[in-house]
Amino acid sequence: MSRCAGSAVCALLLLACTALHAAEPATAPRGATPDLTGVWRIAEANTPAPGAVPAISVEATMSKFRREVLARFVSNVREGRMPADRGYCTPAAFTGPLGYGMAPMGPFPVNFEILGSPGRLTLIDEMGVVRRLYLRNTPPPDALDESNAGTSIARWEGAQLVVQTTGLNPAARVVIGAAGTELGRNARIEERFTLPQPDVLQIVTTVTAPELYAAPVTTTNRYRRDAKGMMFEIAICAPDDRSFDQASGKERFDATPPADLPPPPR
Amino acid sequence: MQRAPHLPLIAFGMLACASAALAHHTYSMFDTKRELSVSGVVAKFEWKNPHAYLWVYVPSATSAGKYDAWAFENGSPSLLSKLGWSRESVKPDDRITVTYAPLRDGKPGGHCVKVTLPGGRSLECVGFGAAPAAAGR
Repeated sequence: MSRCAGSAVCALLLLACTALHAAEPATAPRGATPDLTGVWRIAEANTPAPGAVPAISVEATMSKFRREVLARFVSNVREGRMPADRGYCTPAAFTGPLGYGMAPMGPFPVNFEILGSPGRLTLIDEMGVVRRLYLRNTPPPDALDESNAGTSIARWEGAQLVVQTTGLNPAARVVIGAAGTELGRNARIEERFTLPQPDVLQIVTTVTAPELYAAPVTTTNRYRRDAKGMMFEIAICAPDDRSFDQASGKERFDATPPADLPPPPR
Repeated sequence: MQRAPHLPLIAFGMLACASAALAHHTYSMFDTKRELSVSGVVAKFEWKNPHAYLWVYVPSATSAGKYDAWAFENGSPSLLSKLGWSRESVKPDDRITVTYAPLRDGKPGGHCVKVTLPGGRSLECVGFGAAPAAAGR
């Protein structure tokens, strides 16, 4: 996971240079490139090596928080600003952008689909985040300075796809809904996609986020291609969620039977 | 900067909160230290976000010949699919046994732990605080 090392000025210069030059195609690999398209489902999360005991990515992520970030996060939880007891439909609980946190590049891997089109791969995850991986050496000239998914450029290094992402929304929260876990400015992400087996996708992700992490965070996640290709939508805010009283924002369990429940057996 | 004592410890204690955040809520309404079982007839299976709900008619303990509607929360379809569930895993009128963590308020229902289907096959339910990554393993 990563972004351009420069500041906003750097980004603007980069865009200006890009506008002056024709798009540069990424270096073409020799031979056919691996087919990364399809629906990919999480197989192993954050496994440093085959056979190793998997760690939960959130632990790997939080262990690299800068000390002041950690202190702020703890303070926010203590003072109720990380509303673990509230539904995500309440404004106080779910105000952060849903970009970095849940996309495949984030610390909480989710299932996703890769679609292929000329010059581009598109990733769509189950949380609805869409990422466009431009197969070129520089960002498209019209790319936004900042967006929830950032701007990703990709190149083939042999059979490995290397994706560099910059322009990430600094307000995106690493822990969804948790104030104090914002990605911050000048974050950049590098991802390396490989197919260790025909239907196994490994993504090694390194996030450099100087305002959030004391050091770059690297995670390795593996996904298995789903032959059925079924993608689900994950929605965490539903007005009729029985888990939350949306009026009070408090957890509860509403065991009122639905109106269309069939009659009991006779 | 002065380091707050036990800060890392506290922070890692907060991991539970982070996991709960991913899992949508904290499950505090369920007594997750207890597991009970109940048998009945499937009334309805709601296959939807953010949780699937299973409604089961269970013979009433107080009124002979009557049934009570019990409600069991489960994970999201995305997480359940990784455990082998589909919208057709249970159908109305199926006779099943549900292992569950009961509601703390004593109402009929709880969080599903496991469902034993008519043929004897079992389906695990999504665990408490399961992050998408964890549930994928």
